[in-house]
Amino acid sequence: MKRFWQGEHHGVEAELRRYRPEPRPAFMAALSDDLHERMRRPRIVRRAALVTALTVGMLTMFATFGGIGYASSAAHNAFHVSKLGRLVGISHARHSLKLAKHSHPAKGAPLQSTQAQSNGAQGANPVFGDQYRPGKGCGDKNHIHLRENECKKPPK
Amino acid sequence: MLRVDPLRNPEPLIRRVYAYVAYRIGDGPDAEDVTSDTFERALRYRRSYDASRGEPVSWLLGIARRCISDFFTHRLELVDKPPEMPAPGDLEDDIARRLQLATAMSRLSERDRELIAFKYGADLTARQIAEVLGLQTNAVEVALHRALGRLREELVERKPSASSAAASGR
Repeated sequence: MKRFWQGEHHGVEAELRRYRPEPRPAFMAALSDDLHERMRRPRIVRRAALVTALTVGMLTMFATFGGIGYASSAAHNAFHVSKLGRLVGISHARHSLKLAKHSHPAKGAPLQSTQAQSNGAQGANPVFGDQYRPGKGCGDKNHIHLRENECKKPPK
Repeated sequence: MLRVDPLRNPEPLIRRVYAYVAYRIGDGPDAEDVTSDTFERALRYRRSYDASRGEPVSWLLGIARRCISDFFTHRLELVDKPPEMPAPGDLEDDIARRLQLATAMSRLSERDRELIAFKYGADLTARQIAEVLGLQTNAVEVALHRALGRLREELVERKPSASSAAASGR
């Protein structure tokens, strides 16, 4: 029955398909571009919102669990412990004194001299007060040179 | 659930919607306006598209129907005017035949025009048309057959009158 119908109006159907209205290419391009452009915009907004939400979330997490303070104190400690910090001259005079007091009492005279030195002109010396004192000599692997060519043997 | 974007590949959809609209209201700037309006609304309400209820083209044609309805209510005075029939010989045969078809289409009832536009403009199957219109597939096939019969009558009627007009012109 269906085939009969199709056959009956075959000519009209063919004409309807043949003369099917087509949009102008300029109209097609304009509408298509407009649609693509407007569909892309929300995606950019969504991406920016995601980035913002992630950043805020991470900061909130850090603030809640003390991550920022922990990181700050860790960095602070690392800075003070490093030799570089000491060599640059950022050691505390009070810390040097404390270390000198708690050092072994067997070396009484040197301790006094150390105290005197730390209060005196060499008090600003970053190496004084440390467990590796310059008296240990050039043979020590932890020896720190205070002067250039300090440990070089003089020519005979 | 992954959401399907109905306008992901708009070019073929534009062609089908335009052809449907042009068969309904006539080819030209009005059809372009209605097509643009359809896609404008589709873009605004694309989140409401439900893939389980039909293909994107069916959803778009549902929007296009409402746009056409709005078009008719705003431009009621132009609806009943059939397009001017050119004298054969003035234009190429192809264009003349295209205009004859447009004229015959414009003489059909709104219902017949809609069915033909769905079938031959938007390339929908009878089943898809039935889904859009909320009818039985069989009812759509019968209605479509009758619409084609009436269109053929219109084309046959117009042909001799056109040729006689041409003859009297000479």
